[in-house]
Amino acid sequence: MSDLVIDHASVTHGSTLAVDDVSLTIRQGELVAVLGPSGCGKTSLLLAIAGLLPLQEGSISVGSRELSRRGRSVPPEKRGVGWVPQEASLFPHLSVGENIGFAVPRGRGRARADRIAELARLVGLGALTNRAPNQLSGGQAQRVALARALAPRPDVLLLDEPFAALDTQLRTGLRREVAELLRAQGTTSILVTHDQEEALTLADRVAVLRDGHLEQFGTPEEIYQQPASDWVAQFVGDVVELEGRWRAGRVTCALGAVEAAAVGFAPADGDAVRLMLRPEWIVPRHDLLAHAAAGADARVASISYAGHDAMLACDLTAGLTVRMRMAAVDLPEVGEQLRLAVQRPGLAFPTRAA
Amino acid sequence: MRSFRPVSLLALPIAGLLLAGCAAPAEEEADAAFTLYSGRDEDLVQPLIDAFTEETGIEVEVRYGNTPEMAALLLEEGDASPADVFLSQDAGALGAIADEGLFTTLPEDITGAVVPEFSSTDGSWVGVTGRARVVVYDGETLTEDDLPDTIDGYVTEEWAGRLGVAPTNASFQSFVTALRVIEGEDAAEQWAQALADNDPQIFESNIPILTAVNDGVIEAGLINHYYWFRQANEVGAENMRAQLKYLTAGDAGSIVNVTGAGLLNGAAENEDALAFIEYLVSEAGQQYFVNETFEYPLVPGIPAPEGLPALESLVTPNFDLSDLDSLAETQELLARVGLI
Amino acid sequence: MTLAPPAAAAPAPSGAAAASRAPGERGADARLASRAARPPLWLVLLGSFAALLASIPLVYLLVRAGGSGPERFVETLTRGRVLEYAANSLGLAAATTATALVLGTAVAFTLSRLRVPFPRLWLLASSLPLAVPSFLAGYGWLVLVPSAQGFVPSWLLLSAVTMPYVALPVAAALRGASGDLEGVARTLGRGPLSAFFVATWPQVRPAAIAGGLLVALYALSDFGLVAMMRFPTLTWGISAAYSASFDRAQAAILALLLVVLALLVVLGERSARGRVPRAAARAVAPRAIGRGMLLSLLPVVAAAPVVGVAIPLLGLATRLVQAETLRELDVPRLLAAIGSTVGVALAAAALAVVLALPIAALGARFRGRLVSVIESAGYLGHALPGIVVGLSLVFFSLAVLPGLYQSVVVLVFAYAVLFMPKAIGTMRSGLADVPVSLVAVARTLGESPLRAWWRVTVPLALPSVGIGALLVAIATMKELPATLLLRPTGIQTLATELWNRTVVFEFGAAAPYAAVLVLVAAVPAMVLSGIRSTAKEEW
Repeated sequence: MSDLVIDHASVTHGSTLAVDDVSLTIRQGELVAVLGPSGCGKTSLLLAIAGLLPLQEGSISVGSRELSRRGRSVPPEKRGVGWVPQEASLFPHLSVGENIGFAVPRGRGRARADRIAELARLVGLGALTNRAPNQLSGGQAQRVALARALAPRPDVLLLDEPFAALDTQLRTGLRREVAELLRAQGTTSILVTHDQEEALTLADRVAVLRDGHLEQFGTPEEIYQQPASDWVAQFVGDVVELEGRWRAGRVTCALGAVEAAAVGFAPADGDAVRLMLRPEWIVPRHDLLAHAAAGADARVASISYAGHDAMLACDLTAGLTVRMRMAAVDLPEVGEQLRLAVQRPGLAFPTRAA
Repeated sequence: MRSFRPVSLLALPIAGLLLAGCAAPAEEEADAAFTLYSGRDEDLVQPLIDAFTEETGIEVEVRYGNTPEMAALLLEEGDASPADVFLSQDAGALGAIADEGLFTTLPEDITGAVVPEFSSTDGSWVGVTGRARVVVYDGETLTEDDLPDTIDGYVTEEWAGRLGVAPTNASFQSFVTALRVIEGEDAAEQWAQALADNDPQIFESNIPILTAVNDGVIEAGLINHYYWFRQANEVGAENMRAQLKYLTAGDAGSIVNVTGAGLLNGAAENEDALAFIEYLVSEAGQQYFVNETFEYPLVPGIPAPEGLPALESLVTPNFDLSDLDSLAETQELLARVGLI
Repeated sequence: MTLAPPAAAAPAPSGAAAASRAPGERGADARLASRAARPPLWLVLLGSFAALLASIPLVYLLVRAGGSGPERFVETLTRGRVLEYAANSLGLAAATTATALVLGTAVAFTLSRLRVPFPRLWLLASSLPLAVPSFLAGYGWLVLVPSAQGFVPSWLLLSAVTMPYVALPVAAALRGASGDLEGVARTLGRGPLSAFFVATWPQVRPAAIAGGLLVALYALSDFGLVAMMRFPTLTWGISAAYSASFDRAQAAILALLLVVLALLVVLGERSARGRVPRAAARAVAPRAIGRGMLLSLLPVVAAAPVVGVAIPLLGLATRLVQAETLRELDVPRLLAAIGSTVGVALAAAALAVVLALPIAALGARFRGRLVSVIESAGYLGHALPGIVVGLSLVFFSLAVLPGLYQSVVVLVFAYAVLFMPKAIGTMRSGLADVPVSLVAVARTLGESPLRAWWRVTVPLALPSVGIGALLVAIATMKELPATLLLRPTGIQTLATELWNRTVVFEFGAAAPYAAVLVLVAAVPAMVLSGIRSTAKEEW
């Protein structure tokens, strides 16, 4: 097996530590998203894997081959790591075909031309190989960059926010295509993004990075449903936050006694905790499932409609406002009274230090 | 879209060198018997060399340049010089080369062929032609009678701001060196100081002085005689606004400087090179210079160009041209008075 | 599986164009660029090698001057007119640089931002002064205005012949500069001139300042024109030391003084150059202007071509008519001279570019003392008069490569040392404009640093390499003193043929060579006016 193993890796950028002691094992053929806000160190991590930045500590290896270690680094051209940069960065002096064939050795016969044509077809640009890069749209340019990076059959492919510069519609379509293509090719891929939706929809597993630290590494579902910290919970999706007291696996709060799992600490009965819920975990009472024993009366204050679903702001009788998300069928009206319940266990975190 | 191959850039220098190589006349290098560094120009010297080759069958490789730069080049090359003969426009440059010990001694039959006053005393170089220092003046605003007969007359108050000189030029410095030798250091420095204090018009060389006088920009200047004859030949003597004044014989202002030649150490055994120097002081060589440059022949019995005073009338008594090699002292003097 | 062809492929802002956006804005480029604090060893070695070669004249001067002891230094430098020479050199360089900067920028702005008739033709005319050797320009003027002597004529004429060094790069930079910012400044209440200085000047400043450096060094090292115009500068003093006193030590000490002045200029440029704060470029349509404005701009645009080209050529033609030495032209000889002139110019351009490349590459991406030293050393040759560089190579080639002495190789090498700086500046900015990420991409695609540089950086910087090469070629065609010293015996260039004839006043015979020299040098000058500054503009 040639898994990509990042072991206690640290990368400095100037005098600051951009990547701090990150360990990840990415299985062969897996598509992993590295997710984090701007400046979290995700691009630095990517450049370190590509061999474009040196490691301060730790190591990076593929299978039995060590690529990087402090003071020692296999040069980028010998690592078998492909890179699709954020802005496509096509060589402006080369045609589309020449860009794709940049890493395909010149040989006799048609082998090179065939390979270029094959790759161009693969990314859906078969007819455009004679174009100049400046005649391409943004999406086409990204496809070329992808084909170019795939050409030398890399062990690992790095994608640095490749869809960030594209408009929403194009982005959604292209990223799904790319993900499918990468899975079909069986290429181990790392996708860097600050877009949590992109990370959750595309990746097999997601690594959440914050200030150079790895906060959590898990499947999209784990990241969303069982965030390892309140920061991850808030970064990966919307949250509803309520103050309450812990008592025997439940948090007593404005929504009643909500069943909850304590994350990262062991509260004693009577301790003050923070309860976090995803908005879609809160449902009108008639939807109430068995394990959601608690409930509260509320009045719909506003509805923000998003087509497939809608976000409702509800004023609780207790004086708080909570947001809930529900499918956009059979929506209540503003001012309507609802009985709210929580349909699955929430997450309990320690209260913020005053 | 075609991709560019930077490799094709490499073709440029190669093409350039080939082109330059083709332009070089290859036949000259093949069987040249010796190399001449000529401090005089090609149009003047080359016909003489062609005549020499025709007569003797000896091929000559010539490198042309300004005398001072050629001298600087020879000094820089030292004993590694490819040159066998140096033809210099100026006795000072010959002196500088001789001072460095780069010349070998010439045989007596060559040095003895010319008037001894116009050649080296130690046989390191031989004079070929002579040219006189003269005053050139604006014939439209001045008459010959307005002009002093000695060099001292041109540093008086009356001449303030009117005289053009080229103090950095070798010909002027040779003249000042002569002044030092003839009148003594103190008198020379006094004269130079008087000139410096008299608001002289400073030029870079003789030709611009002649041009300036001929255009009426300045009234008079110190130059060599043959510049005037050359330009007169170009535009016609009757069209010359500038006129020449010869100063009294024996005055440093009428000193005669020479074109001369020397044999470099490396060519001490080179018969062909020696044959060329011999040719320069032969009747054919001398006559050629007279006809082409209006300079004085230095071999007795060859007639001087028309319109020139006799060479004998310009001989400075008890003066040795070899003394013109004390240029360093002249430089210091000129620097002291602020002329250079 | 394959991806479906993308729908509605509108050639919107492409990836490539986006990549040209501000290297160092954010993301990978910023990180890769800031990482480049220490240059790779091979580049430092290549750059140091080129800098060492360029320092040969300096080593020679130190050898020549060093033998004479400190008291000789003091004596020479305190001598009557040396300080005056130095002051004259500095004054002339400062005045010429300032004039060329203002005039060149004004011309460039007029031709690229205002709607004038025949803008290409004017740009071409503005490049022509490059083709006129300064001694020829001085000579032509003196024919018509014999009293044109001293500081003022030297200053004006030098400014005219050096103006293209500023105008051409600034015009190119203006074509690549964003006009949006200027528009924004106008909407915020700035007048046109104020908006130019706030928004556009910062974008063209590095190009203007680099051109200004070439002008300053040109003015410091020029001898032909100041000799004609009788304005005693240090180069005059150096020439006098060689030709009057055969005193190489004195000449060397004066030349060292010139080197010190030049280093001050180079360091000044380094601190004034700054970084290019490049905004996304959007082409600006030239602004229409009224007839009155157009007429008042005519003198600005026409000044340099008239003063630097038309009047000198008129002077030469006048002398030609007066001359009586008209005789049959030796056509094969003229052709041979053209051949060798073009040949050595091409070779010199190529060699200068090759030597300048590592120095420009260092300057484009790296900072630090070592880079500063290497870059400054590269500029040295340009500050020295040709005779000094020529003699230094006589000294060097006899000591090191006696077999190559008086061969084309040493001659071409001398040109490269003399004119390399003309290539360094343009190539440095060309290389700096290549996005770092493109090179990194090439690395991840399996190319070694050197090969990535060769396959990506070099072709992208090629227009600037071309500009550098043309500038060197033009200068080489006009060069005289070093050519006289170093050319292989028997080889004549147009400049030496011209010299052959002017020394003996044969203007009739000289005129064809002068005309052909200007014509031949005008060809690369015209090409120059058409080249775009960076590959980016072609995107």
